[in-house]
Amino acid sequence: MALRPIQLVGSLQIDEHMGYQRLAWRLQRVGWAVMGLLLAAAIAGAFGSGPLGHASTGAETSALRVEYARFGRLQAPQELVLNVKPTPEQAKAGKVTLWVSRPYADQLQIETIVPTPDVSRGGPDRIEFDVSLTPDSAGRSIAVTLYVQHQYPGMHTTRAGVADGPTVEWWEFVYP
Amino acid sequence: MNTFLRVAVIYLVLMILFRVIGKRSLASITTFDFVVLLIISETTQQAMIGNDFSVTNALIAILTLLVLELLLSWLKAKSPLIDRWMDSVPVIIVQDGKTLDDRMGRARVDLDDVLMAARMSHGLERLDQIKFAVLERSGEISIIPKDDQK
Repeated sequence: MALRPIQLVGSLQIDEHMGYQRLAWRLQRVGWAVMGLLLAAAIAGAFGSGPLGHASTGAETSALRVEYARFGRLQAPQELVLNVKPTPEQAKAGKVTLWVSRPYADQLQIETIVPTPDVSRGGPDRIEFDVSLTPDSAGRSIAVTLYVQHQYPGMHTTRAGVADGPTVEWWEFVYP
Repeated sequence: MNTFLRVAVIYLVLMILFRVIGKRSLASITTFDFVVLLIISETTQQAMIGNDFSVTNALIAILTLLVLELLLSWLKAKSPLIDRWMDSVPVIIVQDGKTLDDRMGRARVDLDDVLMAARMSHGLERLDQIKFAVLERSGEISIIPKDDQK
């Protein structure tokens, strides 16, 4: 391969290329702006924690309200809170049955659930678990927290609910 | 596959980021710049190998990096255009003892940097003793003294 000839500037033989250089400087300024915007988006929560990243379904008064991270990250610890308001019957029976739909539940690694469920059951389209209640829990919001880690990136649409009760649906996006 | 993708993505993103911040930013290595570079490499390492600490995974990651380097150097030799975009070009910033202010401003080089390079490389005392100062592709400044100063 023949070597490229290199121009002279005055007495200096140099591969100067001001047309390219000016374009590169301009693009560099654009790049700085993009970096700033990305950082601002990250602070706002577009890539995980932050005001944009925290979301919940339904109103405070609803019988089931799920708090979740709208933007998750692969294999990062994350919380999913099911706020359930037990009916008087459920409080009297001392337990409530919650469920999370598949395949979402299979794509998560569930580290722990607090309070620890007494029993969990696998069904074809959901995973159910029974949580014991104190007698005074009727009509009050009881938080059941799932500490989870996403194992698959991408968009996940899912549902959760209370057996014989309300169902909620939401989406999460998991960054790789 | 997983390791290859991780390493390739990180390689590409780092290449773009370091081109965007400019060659002057981390070129004059002060102690603090060095610390920042170390922190960046530490942060990157996690993303490249994940939770897999096996020797095989490390070898795949290293192999990927080296092959990408090889590929890039081959592309650069083939195409002057790619060469320019990857490594930029040298820019003359002082000519016959006069600073080219527009270029210096855009490249974020000030007179102090030029004079420091002149002192360190040739023991020059003043700007008017410099024939050419060039901001090289590496981000360093090279100085050519005027003929009567040699």
